[in-house]
Amino acid sequence: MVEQLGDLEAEIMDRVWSAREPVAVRDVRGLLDRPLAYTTVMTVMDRLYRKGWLTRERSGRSYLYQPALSRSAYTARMMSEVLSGAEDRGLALLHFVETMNPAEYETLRGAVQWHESQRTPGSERTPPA
Amino acid sequence: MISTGLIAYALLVTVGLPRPLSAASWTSRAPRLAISMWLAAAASAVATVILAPLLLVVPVHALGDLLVLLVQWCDWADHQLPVPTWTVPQAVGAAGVLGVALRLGYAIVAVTVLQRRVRRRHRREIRLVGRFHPALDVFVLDHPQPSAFCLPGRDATVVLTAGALHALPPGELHAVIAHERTHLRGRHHLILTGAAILDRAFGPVPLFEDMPGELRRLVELAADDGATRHCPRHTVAHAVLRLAAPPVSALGMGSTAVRQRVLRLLTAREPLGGPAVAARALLIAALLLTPLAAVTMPALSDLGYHCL
Repeated sequence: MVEQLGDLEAEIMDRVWSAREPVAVRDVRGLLDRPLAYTTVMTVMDRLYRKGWLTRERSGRSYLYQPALSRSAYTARMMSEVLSGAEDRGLALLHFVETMNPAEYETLRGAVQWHESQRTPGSERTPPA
Repeated sequence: MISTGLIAYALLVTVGLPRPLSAASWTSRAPRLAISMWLAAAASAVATVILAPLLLVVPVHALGDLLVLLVQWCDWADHQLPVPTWTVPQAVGAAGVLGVALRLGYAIVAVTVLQRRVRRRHRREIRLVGRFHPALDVFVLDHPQPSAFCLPGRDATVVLTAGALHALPPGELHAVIAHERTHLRGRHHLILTGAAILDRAFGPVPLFEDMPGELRRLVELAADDGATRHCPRHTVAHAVLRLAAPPVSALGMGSTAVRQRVLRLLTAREPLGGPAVAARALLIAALLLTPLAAVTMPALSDLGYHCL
């Protein structure tokens, strides 16, 4: 149940981000792939509002919701935490590899190409026309 | 007397060992063995710095007596444990034990609380911001910089950027995912968390200062080895190289570690031979047993004395 609500949160955030304008619960419900009770969608959106993912303002008898931050803003923040090596403070994100500076990268690429040519002799030479 | 010996041993492990172990070349041939050695050294050092002051409070012969009491067949019922009387060395010892315990406790709380908070936020963000890729069983972040990482802990998951999906050919993509899954399966984050805690607690001590960086390097090598069980070595090497490419916008870091990682994959060196592995395993066992033996040996001889 909790897992399903989690999936629903992701789905609803996706629709709100795609909407590009303030949306009501009714609008979001219409955009979902599966038919869900109005109250279910309202509960999840209320939860997202309380957790700070959505902002809302009253419009008549209901609310209009907007994302607090754009999807790319969250992505950018997460990436900067990963790329800046936040794991050094013990966060242990286990980033695959840090990026190199251009000079070192070119040297290493040269070394790899040399190893490749050793592995498959003759492959470095251009084939005869 | 034993305290002095333990302090000398602690100095050997915490100051004498780290530099040669960091510099040793065998560690990149057997990264998992090297990780075990670092962890054994850390456990040994921590046990020693707790035991050494503890022995000032509780003398070794009292431990021996306790052992005697525990052993039923000795049949020595009317013995009573000595009531400690507070002397200066005992007060120093008690302060020492308390100091070490408090430092360690504080570091554990500080590191794990921060980590739990950030992990929880990352988990939520990935679930809501990322898109699940069912075929690869990874989350994809819509970001152009080719990159990959994993979020350990509950609901552990591998995360790739859209840039990485775009840049990596299928073979290398699987190499990257296999590498990250090796991290998760091996619980590498726990190793690094432990190192971060000890660094926080006993920072300036060389062993604990060097350990996080060395372990970070070694778990990457271990994960590369894990990936080579699923993909050819040169595919893993190319994947590392591709994701290490300098970003267009930002300046990359200078990294000899990446260089070593790639070249290590391309120049398949013989794994350590049996005798070399055995020698290092013995050293690991010695590291783990020495503090224990230092305390229990006199006690055991006491035991023998009482019983014979």
